[in-house]
Amino acid sequence: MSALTPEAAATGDLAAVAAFLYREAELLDGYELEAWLELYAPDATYWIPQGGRETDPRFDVQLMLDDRRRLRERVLRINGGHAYSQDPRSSTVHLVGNVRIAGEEEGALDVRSVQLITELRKGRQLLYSAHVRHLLVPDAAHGFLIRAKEIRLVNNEVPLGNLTFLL
Amino acid sequence: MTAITDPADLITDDWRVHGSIYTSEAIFAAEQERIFRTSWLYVAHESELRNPGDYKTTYAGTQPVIVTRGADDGRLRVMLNRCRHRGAAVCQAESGSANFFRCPYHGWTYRNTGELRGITYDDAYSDLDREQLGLTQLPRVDVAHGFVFASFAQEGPSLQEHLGHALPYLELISRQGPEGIRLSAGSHRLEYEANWKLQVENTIDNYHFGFVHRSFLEVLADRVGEAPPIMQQILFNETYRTVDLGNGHSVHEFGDPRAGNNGAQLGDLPFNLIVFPNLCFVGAQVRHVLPKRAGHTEVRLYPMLHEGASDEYNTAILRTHEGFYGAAGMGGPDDVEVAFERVADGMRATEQEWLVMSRGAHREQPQPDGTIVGHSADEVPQRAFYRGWRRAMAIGGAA
Ligand code: FES
Ligand SMILES: [Fe+2]
Repeated sequence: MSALTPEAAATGDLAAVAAFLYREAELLDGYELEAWLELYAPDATYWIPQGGRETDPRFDVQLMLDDRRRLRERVLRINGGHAYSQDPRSSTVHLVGNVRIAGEEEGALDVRSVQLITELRKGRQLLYSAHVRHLLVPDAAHGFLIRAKEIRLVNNEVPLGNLTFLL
Repeated sequence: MTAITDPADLITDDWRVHGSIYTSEAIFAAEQERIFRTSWLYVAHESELRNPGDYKTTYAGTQPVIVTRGADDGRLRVMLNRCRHRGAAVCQAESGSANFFRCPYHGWTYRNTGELRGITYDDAYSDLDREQLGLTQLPRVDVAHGFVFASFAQEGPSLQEHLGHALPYLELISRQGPEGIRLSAGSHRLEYEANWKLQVENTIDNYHFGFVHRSFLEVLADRVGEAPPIMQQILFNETYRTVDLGNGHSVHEFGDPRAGNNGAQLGDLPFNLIVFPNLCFVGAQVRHVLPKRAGHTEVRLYPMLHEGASDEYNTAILRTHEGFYGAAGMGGPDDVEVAFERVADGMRATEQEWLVMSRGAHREQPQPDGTIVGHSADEVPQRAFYRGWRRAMAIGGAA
């Protein structure tokens, strides 16, 4: 897996990669957040940028840029029952498409996809569209682990309401 | 429902507050007229407009404005973002640098001082007075410790007089970093379906913290292994106090306001401050509350970075801020849910209109300088705000 060439990755393992992304989406939509968290490597980052391509998290405020510790805290908070912004919880459908392997980065597959996330909460249905990037490393138990996930929402610069469900 | 004609009657002397202050479009319109068109309004921080020609767009009350630093004279000006021809907004960008603004509709151009510079194919006008057709300026602009304010009113109290006892706190904020502060990281933008005043009055509300932010306290407890003593501090630490600073302003001090940091989170101010009517400081952020309609509000949260501190330090301020605030934060969205939108839901039950805002009123301590000191979790800041509101809104009253 780690010696995969971009060509081999693009042809041979696309199905495995796509299946992994679908699995992640399914866990999110099914509120299986602890199992979802297991898909993240210990050094994982989870990033929802604010601003265009030029936004730089060192200097610009972001919607979310978590390490795995804080990602775990999100799960803890949502599952704890006292996060009012998730009471009631958001119902979501993650539609994953345009999956491709763009290359390799430091032993990880650079996977691009688009996602349409439909969210229903308190009778209001909202749509979030995003360009998504995963850096995936091979893992015996899950097939892959996520080293990095980046969710570029098309509406990340407009005033937002409640993004406390996990994307 | 009680029919009330004078808005001053919406707040009783024993601190019953009528729910229509959050829901009535008529009151919303009266606020724009009596508060936002008379008071000083925050529009920018100087760090956003460092160089001649820099500009930003924002709102003065509900009105879109452009704040500019003159390309030639370096002066700060605030003008309506509205072409004098047939009214199109002349500037779309949030910020930038420009010597001219060109209206996209028919091409009229304005200098960044607001002066009308050119009319396209102008032979069709016989008697136009160009001098009178610059972008409409707000007549007064002034700066306090780097914070830029403007007023629609030609006359009235000076900015210094308006800020009064809030001024020393702005000075403390301006000295948070080794070389001051800057607002260069952009802003979180939120919107919610409820009244703007709910965000302002929630900025200093220690009473709510243990309830609305219970999940955040659970996260903190998990992080350090034990429940943080925030509620004990709020209830029993006597150096924690609320102060009505007059003119609608208020502060909550977590101990000595001159201490660098309240110890809670990186970059946090040792106090929360409300500057009447719609500017707040909490944590490491400038919070600008933008009223849109009685039941719709936008809020912009600008993290304050420390000038002269390392990039790593400022990056850490941003990450800490994001942990609680913004649409994806682990705290702010709970305020939106409970303190704003669930209040808006409750306000639909109009059979009983009155709210109780008297917490700690009996133990307020008026000071010789006119300020009023109260306990940390008392509703002193809410009463401070509504004293200012009531005076401004009274028929025949002035801000
Ligand atoms: S509206 Fe601006 S040029 Fe006509
Ligand atoms: Fe809060």
